[in-house]
Amino acid sequence: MKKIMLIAVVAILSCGFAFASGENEKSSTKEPLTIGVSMRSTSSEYHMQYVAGAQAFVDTLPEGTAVVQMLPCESSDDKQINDIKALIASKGDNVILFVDPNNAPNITAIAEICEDAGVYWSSVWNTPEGITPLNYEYWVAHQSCDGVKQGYDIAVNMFENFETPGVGKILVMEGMLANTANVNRMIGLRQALEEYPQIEVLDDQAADWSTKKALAVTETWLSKFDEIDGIWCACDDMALGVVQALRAKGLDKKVLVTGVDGVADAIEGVDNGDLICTIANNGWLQGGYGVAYAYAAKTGKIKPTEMSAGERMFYTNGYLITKDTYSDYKANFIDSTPIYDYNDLSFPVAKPME
Amino acid sequence: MNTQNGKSQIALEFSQEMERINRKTRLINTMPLIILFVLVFIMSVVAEGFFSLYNFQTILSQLSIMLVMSMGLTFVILIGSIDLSGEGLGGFAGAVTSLLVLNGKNTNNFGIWGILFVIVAVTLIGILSGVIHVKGKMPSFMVTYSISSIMAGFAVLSYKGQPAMIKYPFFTQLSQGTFIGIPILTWISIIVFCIAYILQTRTKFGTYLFAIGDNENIVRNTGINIDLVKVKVFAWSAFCIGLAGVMGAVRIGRGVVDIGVGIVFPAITAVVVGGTSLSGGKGGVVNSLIGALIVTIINNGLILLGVSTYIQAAVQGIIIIAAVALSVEHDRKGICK
Amino acid sequence: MQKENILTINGLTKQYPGTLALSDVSININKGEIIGLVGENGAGKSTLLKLIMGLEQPTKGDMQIYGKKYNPKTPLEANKNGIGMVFQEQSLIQNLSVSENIFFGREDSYSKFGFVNKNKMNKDAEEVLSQVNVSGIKTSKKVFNYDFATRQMIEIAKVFYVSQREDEKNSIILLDEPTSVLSEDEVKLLFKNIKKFVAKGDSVIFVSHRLDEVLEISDRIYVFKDGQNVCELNKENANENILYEKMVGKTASGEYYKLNRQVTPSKKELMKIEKLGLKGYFNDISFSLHEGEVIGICGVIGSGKEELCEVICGDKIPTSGTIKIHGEEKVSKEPYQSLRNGILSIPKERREEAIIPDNTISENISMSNYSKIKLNGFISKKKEDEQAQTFMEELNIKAPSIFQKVSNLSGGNAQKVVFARILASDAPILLLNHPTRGVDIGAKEEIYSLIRDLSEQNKGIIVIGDTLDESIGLSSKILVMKDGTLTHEFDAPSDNKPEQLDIVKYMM
Repeated sequence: MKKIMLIAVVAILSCGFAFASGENEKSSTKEPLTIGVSMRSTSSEYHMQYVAGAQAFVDTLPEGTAVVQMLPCESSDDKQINDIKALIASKGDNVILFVDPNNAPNITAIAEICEDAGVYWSSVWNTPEGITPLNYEYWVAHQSCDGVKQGYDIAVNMFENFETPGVGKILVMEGMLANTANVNRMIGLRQALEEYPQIEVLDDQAADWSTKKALAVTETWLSKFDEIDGIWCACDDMALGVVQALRAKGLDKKVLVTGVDGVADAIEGVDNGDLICTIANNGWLQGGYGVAYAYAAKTGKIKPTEMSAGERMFYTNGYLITKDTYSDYKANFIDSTPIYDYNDLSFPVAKPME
Repeated sequence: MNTQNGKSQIALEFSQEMERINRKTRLINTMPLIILFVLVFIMSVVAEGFFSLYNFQTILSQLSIMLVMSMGLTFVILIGSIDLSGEGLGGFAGAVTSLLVLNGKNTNNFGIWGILFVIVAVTLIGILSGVIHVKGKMPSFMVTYSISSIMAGFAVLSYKGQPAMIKYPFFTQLSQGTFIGIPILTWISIIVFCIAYILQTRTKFGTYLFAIGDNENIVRNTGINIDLVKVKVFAWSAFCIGLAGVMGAVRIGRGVVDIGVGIVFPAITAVVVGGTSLSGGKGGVVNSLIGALIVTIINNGLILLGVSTYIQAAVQGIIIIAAVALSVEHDRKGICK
Repeated sequence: MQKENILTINGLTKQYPGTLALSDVSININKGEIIGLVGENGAGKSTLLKLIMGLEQPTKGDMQIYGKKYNPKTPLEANKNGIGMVFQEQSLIQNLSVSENIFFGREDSYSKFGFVNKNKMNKDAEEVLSQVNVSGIKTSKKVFNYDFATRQMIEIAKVFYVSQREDEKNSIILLDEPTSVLSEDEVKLLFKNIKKFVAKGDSVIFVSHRLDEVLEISDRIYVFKDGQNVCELNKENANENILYEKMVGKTASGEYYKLNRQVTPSKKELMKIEKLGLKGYFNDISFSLHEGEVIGICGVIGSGKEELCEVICGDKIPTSGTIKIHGEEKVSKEPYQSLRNGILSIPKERREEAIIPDNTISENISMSNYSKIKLNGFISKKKEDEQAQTFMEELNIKAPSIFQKVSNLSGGNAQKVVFARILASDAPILLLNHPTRGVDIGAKEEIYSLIRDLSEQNKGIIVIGDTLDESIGLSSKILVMKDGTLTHEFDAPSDNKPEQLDIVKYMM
């Protein structure tokens, strides 16, 4: 009985494979190219911007050339890898990918899979130390945001908006100590502080990216310090907690607060004056150009092996939202989808990575 | 005759020994209060800005959620159990509340009814974990920890990754309002404390808490339904968690599951530092009030002192171990697990 | 004068696995009577009390109260029938007030809308206390504030209160060793109170090891021996000598205890105990243990013998005196330290203190002597199993294999596993606390011959026997303790054993 079962299973499986591979051969000639966007979750607005960016890129191509497929991994490393494998298994090499790795180490496995399958792809945000596209033929490019620049930009923006520009007392709310994003943003802050010697840092605390902790820390700060001009926050979530604490003491809008990330509530906070500025990570730009790089390699427009390290690994700029730029940001990014010239692959490169 | 003397001698020594233990117990019972005074004194001297009306308001407002949490946990710990469901359940309460009142994400506007609904729902979940604990004969920490994970999952699902900003004006009044200089949230926690105090001292429920923690057999032999008392305890604890979750949402103004993160262990610490024994039967809500003050003042004082974040957590840990060492009875015979 | 009969006990029997704790006991309790129960440890007194209180169910026999069938399943039921018990270990909740303790479980009569009227409760508690002539207690204070004797009076008052019958007929109060930690004056006060209760028609069953007290207070005395009620004496007919005679058990043959193999101890001293004391438990104990010697320690509960053993094995720290091993003073604060000093003890509660039931025989044997079976720092399973195999054959442990879990073994075989562990270790001094408790006769004999083996190997042994007879049979010297002091020392060579009666006189 067991044997019969086994034979039946093998038979069904082989039929399936035969059928699938047969379809593959057909699809490579007829079917449109599948663009896989592998990201964390469909419920996150920011991650959905990748998809919108990828779609905006597809819209610049002749109709029927390519389709976008979302691969949300719901915060699971395994699901991310399995979804990518499944997509490649069903479409063969008629696929390109844009990947935001769930955790940095996941990227190594993905690189191996794509290399074996001959699938061109690009990545965003984190890679483990020493793992770069330069070692691979099909991993076209890797992009990230420049945390140092973000930390610097929001600091300068805050300092310049003090009553006497460049003079004031600030408090520093760090994220999670030793976390890469926090470390980089702090470097940026220190660079800004060197340029503005009349800014005094009263205290420096870490609130682990948490709204709640930032709230409690700020409350205590407010009992200790009478004169505070600004609170530099390493992320929007913490900034929202800081604003909440200030509001309870009637100090909101009097003490300037910065954020980074472009969380919807924080962007609204910039508009109504709770926050002085935040930096929105531009998902449209990241997703659109990420796909454009992979597509260019797929169509032979660029040859990754002949490109320099700086061309394959670079930082992109976020969008600094302030009271002044809010209306522009709203018009271009909230009320409509930004459109870029995807033929100009050097456009998103703000700075090559070192 | 010699034996009679021997008898009196031993009996005398025995009663001296008992008296010595009693004296020690009384000293240990007052220890948390002494620690609190010492801490206030030290902080007033060394921490700039500590001894000010403004900072006392801050301490009271930071105390509020922990106090509410610890009122629930005190009863649970008094009967010798533990409730770890606070993280998930509190986050769930906060997140769902933000979605039910006026908010920036959906069109709901149930106001006060939304809050009541959340607290009732969370209390029912507490009853459920109590029933699973007593009827399923499962350890309370396992049951409540699982409930926590489940509810944390539901909380994240409820707002699908993007938390709602609360726009309900009543919440703004709650978070900013004060009454005779004390924040409204703190008043709420004081009311919860009073209710807990009355439950503990003025009802038979309170009497049974101590008895169950001390010796369950005596209680059972007296013909009391222990299971029912325990389920009530978990319901009360969940009620407090629900309220703490709503208060968390009021304080930070956003419905994130983050509201629940890290609210359980400081509250357990407060209960234990206050002198309530983890094995049950000893302590009470007054102890927990003192414990909550101690824990809050440590956090507040360390930030005021400008202690580097890198070593703050370590200093906190050391102070808490020292406080527990002073305020907990160490019976040589007792096995600590 | 014919008194009204309250409680009749008819042929009550309680069989535990392996032991017959109570056998066919019949007793009458009349109105206003004080009944004394005396007997050695394990004679069945406590079992009888447990059956009367509904803590255990009898195997056979029945009881009647006021002519009605009485078969309590819980203490609560016993209370409703007018029977209450003051336990040896106090059962008050330390962190509740006196009044909360007295009215525990009966708060409803003080409740209005769920709130308990503590003032009224405190006042009524004073009333309850005054019923047993206790005054000067603040009933709103927590119990832990009061000393032991006061707590006991509170408990007696509580028991009186809870065992009041609805039909207001008289109650029966059981007192289990109420005087063991009371001073003379406190005992006098207690007796005065007891007499007042019975004057009102209530009855008291008084269990004590102190014969003088039993004789002083009781109207009638029942003597228990080996689970049987061996005689009933009226106050007028009883005196200490008669009671002693009736209490001592039968003497087993010399062969049973392997007397022919009893070793005459050498002069070489293993351990010397000098003026050892533990405050509140015993004082000024001195003796020496020699190679090959078996010392039996006799005494009733509360005599301090259990605590003496706990001090010797390092479980408690003595408050005075010294323990010298091989002439060198040793201090043990934990049992592992005393094991390092060469003292190994077999605890009384085997299941809770001596074996790991879910581990195999092999693992249980190797527990105290890993150094012997170590190989490169790791336990050598092979050596461990070889060792177990040897002992299994040597000690005749009846089990399918050495991989059997100890929880599946009978009491006797489990105890043999514990003995194998002793044999495997090299400790020269052994402390055997009730080594044959819960072991059947056949296994008992094997354990006796094991003890003989051990003393032939020149080990020094201290025994607390399960019965007096056992202590006499096994020991070459007997120490008798009473009220925390050493009252007498008997030499017990194999050809001249002391009589039980002589020893009992120093115990009681």
